[in-house]
Amino acid sequence: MTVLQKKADNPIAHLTPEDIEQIGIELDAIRQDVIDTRGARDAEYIRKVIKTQRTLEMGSRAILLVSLFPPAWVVGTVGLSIAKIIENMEIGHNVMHGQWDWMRDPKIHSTTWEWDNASPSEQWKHSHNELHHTYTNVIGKDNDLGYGIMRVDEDQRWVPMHLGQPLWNFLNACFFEYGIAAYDLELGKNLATPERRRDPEFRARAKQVLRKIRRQATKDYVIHPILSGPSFLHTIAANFTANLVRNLWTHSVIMCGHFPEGVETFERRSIVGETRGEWYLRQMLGSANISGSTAMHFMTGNLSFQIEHHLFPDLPSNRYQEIAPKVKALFDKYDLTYTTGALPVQVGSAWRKIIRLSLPNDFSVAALVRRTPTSRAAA
Amino acid sequence: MTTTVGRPGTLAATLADTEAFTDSAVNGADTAADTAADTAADTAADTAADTAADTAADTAADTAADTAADTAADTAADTAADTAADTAADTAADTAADTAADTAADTAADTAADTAADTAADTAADTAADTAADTAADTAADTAADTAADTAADTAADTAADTAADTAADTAADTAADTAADTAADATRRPTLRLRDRLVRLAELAVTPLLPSDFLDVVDPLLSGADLRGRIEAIEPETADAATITIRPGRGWRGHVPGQYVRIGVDVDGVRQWRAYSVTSPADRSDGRFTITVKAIPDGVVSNHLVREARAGTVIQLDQATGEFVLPTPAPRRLLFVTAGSGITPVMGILRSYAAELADVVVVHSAPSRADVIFGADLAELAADDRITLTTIHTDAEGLLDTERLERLVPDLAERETWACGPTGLLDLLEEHWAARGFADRIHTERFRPTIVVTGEGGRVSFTRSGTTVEADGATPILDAAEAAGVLMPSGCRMGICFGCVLPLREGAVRDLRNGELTTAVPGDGVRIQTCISAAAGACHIDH
Ligand SMILES: Cc1cc2nc3c(=O)[nH]c(=O)nc-3n(C[C@H](O)[C@H](O)[C@H](O)COP(=O)(O)OP(=O)(O)OC[C@H]3O[C@@H](n4cnc5c(N)ncnc54)[C@H](O)[C@@H]3O)c2cc1C
Ligand code: FES
Repeated sequence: MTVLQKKADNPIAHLTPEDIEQIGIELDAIRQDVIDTRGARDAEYIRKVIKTQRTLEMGSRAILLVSLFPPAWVVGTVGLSIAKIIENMEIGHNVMHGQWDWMRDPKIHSTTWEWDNASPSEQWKHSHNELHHTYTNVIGKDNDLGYGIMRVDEDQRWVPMHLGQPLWNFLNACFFEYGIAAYDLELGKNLATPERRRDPEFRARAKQVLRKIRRQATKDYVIHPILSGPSFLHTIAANFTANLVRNLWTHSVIMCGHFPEGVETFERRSIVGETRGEWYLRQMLGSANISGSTAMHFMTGNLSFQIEHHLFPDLPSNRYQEIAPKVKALFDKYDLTYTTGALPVQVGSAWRKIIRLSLPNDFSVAALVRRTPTSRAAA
Repeated sequence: MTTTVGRPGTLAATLADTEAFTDSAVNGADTAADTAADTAADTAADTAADTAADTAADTAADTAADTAADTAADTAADTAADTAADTAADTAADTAADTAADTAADTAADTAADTAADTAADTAADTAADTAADTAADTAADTAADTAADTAADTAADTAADTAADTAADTAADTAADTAADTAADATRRPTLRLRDRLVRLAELAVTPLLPSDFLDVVDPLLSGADLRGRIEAIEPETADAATITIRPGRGWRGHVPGQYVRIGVDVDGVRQWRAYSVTSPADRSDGRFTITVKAIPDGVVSNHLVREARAGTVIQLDQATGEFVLPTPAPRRLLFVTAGSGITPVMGILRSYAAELADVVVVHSAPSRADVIFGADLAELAADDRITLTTIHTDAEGLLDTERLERLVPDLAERETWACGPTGLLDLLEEHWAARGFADRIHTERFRPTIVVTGEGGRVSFTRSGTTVEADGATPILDAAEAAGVLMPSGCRMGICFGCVLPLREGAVRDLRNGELTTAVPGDGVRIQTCISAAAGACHIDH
């Protein structure tokens, strides 16, 4: 086991290789328990969520047809924002993880699902399921660590661009769905050279994204506004607001998953030859939960159980809450830190880290004074 | 561009045109040329200047670099933008119009739009890119004299060509395709159809990325436009372990021919399971319902669920009726039906539909005991009415039917066209006998057991599309075995969490290496399996 070993206070120094494999075995047992009891109750749950979400969306959009009237605007916008959040989080994200594939329902299946988001599901599944979930928090491998534009760990090299990262992060939050699409396209890397720009595969994917964005925008900013007749502009504003609210919310929740203080990151070479137990351990230490009410968990798509989700990304989301106590008990048994906190605390923690790391590690006013030639001259 | 103001049904028409309208309004051919030119000029100038400046530092004079960069950038940008825009627009319009016109003539506006868009986009992009790149490179190369100029020309040409070609091609293709498709569609459609199509298109635009049917499902899963489904309306016991299930099919149901079966998808413990069941109701039932009759078999997942657990009101998935176990027209004069157990079901469907018209029908039916005879009363009634000549064999007491006895019961067997349905053993026996007597073509059989799935260790995995066959052992994931044999497989984490490796299993059995769970598929199923954690447990056909 080489993960984390270099840290001064190595959080797993007390674990023997046998302990780690035992953790794997115990987690496998928790997983198997859920699989053995997975059934009609779970199927009913996801179908009910989907039905409720669609009813809410239809209802909200119907109300927005008369968004000229302020109460209708407010009710419709709130409803649509919630509908969009549920669609992306509890439904889209989880369905695309294959959490419901066991139902063998082609309408609720990871290979057929398309979500209300700028990024086409196929591209998102690649960058999220294959890269992020496999290489969770491995610096240089998991692009979710700062999305390639931010520095969220001391071990990531500082460059002057990072000075602006509080602003980048805020902009990314507002337009998160486009951020995700650009990220799934690896836009930064693929626009860098003419060869990459011309790569037919990249072009095909870019075209796919543009087509998706065009359809999404036509729906929200053309069709529904036109259907609203005199409420045209009000409906545009309502739909824009709903997308903004959804973006800000999902961004905050996702930031809480891996950025707050206390979450560990890993070196690239530390995962070479990783065993299943070690992989589990990396997920345990690389994720953070959000505490709160059932309604809050639902609105985060149960990503508030980020630890459980990362351990078992393909178990139905409605079961995370159920297994959380068992997982927590395992953390306690092996003396590991189960990072969790209320949403405002975790969001605050993540933001503090982003602001702090926008400056170099050794940055301090004193160091700055020492380094600048003018101050030396003055001294 | 078809403008729609003042036409009947204008709201829908206007709305449905909106996507095309916005495209063309915002990105029309003019705009495309402008945008392309602007973008190309900017990008080209920037890139060219940068690159040229760098190279010039080493090789050429500053002036050469400046001039080369400017000239190359300007010329390249102009020419590229113009040519790209023109060519793209022309080609796109032509190709789109042709394709759209052809396609629209016999298919829907949707197909035309898709095909036209694809073809137009491809052709336009290709042509535009080629022409732009060539022209730009040529012109720039002529003007520039040294290395700086070459570099500038190349870079400028590339950038200009890329940007111009992209913008122009996309816009032109979209606009042209939309317009062409609209026009072609308009020309071939009656106004009412057009209105309906436009409403559908509008609904699609309003609910993307879902489909209108996804929302119809919320309202009523049996509406037309939704997937074919049915609702269980009644479940009535026939015997201790068999029940007849009345199903009200959704709007798209096309009916059945007596003797055919229907595939139904039932959720058992939350998992969708598809099975085939013969239709047992007459074909001309006036209320549009139909029935199936299911016999629960030991450990049978679906049959037990349907007979013992399912409740009226449950919505199930349906496929259109199909099957060859039907009478020809005109029906043969003399008929023999040999059935056993639940094998009576398709025959009951036939008898209920045609008994009045058939002249001479003999039925030989086997069941373990009197209490196990499905449709016992119906058969007795048909016999009492002289519609059929019935022999019922209670195999618990009398033993299984053999051919000797059958020959005795039906002395004119050779003159009868025969339909048989029942357990594999009986059907094998009859087929052998008919073949031995030299009239194998006069017996028609229906088998209920799917191809028996061998669930041993490992097996031969064949990939239906690529045609590759792999011998996989029971401990190797299908993914690894297939890759070792040179099959290009989709894959991701290779440890069972990402589902990047999911493929449909058309037929066969695989074992989940993680928990030993067995997943089986019969023809038509297409159960999606994760190849990275599934090992073959018998012969497998994978759709890939
Ligand atoms: C064209 C066609 C028409 C059919 N029509 C009818 C019908 O009208 N009524 C009806 O009841 N069934 C009919 N069947 C059979 C039906 O489709 C199912 O196979 C049957 O109900 C068993 O499904 P299950 O899910 O209960 O069993 P499964 O869970 O699939 O199987 C459980 C066990 O039983 C074995 N098994 C599977 N089928 C049979 C069988 N028929 N007899 C004995 N053992 C079996 C399996 O190998 C397995 O070991 C028809 C099948 C076909 C192909
Ligand atoms: S490759 Fe990951 S589940 Fe198969």
